[in-house]
Amino acid sequence: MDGDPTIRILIADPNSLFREAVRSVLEGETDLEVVGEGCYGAQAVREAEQTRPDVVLIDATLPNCDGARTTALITERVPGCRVLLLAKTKTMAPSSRRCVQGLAPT
Amino acid sequence: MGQVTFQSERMLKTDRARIRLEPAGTHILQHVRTPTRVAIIDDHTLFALAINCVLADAGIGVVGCAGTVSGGMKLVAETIPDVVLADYCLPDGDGLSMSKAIMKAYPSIRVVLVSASDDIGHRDLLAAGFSGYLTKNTPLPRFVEAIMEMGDAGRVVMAPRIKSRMPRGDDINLIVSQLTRRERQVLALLSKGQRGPQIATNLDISPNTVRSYVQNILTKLQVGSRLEAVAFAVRHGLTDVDSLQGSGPVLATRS
Repeated sequence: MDGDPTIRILIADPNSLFREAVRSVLEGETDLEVVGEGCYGAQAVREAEQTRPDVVLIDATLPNCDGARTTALITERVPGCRVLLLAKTKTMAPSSRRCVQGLAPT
Repeated sequence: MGQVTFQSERMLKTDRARIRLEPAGTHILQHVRTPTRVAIIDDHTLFALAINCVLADAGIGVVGCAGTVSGGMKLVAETIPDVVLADYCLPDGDGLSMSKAIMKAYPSIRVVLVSASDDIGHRDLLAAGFSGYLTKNTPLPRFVEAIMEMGDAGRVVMAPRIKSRMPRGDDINLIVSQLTRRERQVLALLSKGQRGPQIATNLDISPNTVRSYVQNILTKLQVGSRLEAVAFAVRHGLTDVDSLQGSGPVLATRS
């Protein structure tokens, strides 16, 4: 982060109401900045490449390219970017588990 | 979701602290009218907590959140809220049946179905007694406004099926005239690429007040994001900051 205290965040979720609500909450914090949004996987990857965020919040059920694959693509193309996979359940799909373990999704 | 929930709870506490610290007359108090008590029944915990924060910021009280049908029924029985936001899909049942049960047991409670899809028949919901139907792609300012309208006037709110968000022709002048001078200033600075904190410094107001102005701008321009507001400003020549400099206090108004 090169000494910059602001954590730059990208939100990838299919629902705009969720993205806007989370953005609104995060931007209330002085050290957090939402630099982009994506409503499907490919868009999230493109946004991440353009905005180079520190953290990406990804919904596990993103359409077009699911959360696990999107995570793999972003961590490959934006080195140093940390991804937080958001899921409704505690049980992780095999592809997501491989992703968290640093392996390519099946 | 454990860590995520923790983070959200931390932010909730921060938000409450901020609300307490706000001096009288700031944007949060402008939004407070008749207090509306809302219960959120949604199994997407982070979504529920984020909406909780946003509604609290707008002066709407959230009595609690539940993630299941059984938890939702218990929450409603214990708190008797004015409005229930009910998710369509819940892990232990469907939101539709739960909502009907709530409306039958508590006729005074207004229930809004909140769904990720927009293919549920409006007429069927109204016939079933629902007070509203909002999709999870409703622009945030419109969502908040809809809850306020329900609390203030008991209005029925429905998800807009908007083909084009951008207004046309004669509507432009009417829409622009709704913006206060301060909101015009904020919009012009947004269109110069400035972010919230920069705008707050430039106008000598708090970042929260800037957020309030931005929310008003989005509502009045009928757009869903800052980017769309900026596109509107550029398209209709609302980017000149200097022409908006003037003496005297600039009062925030809410239309």
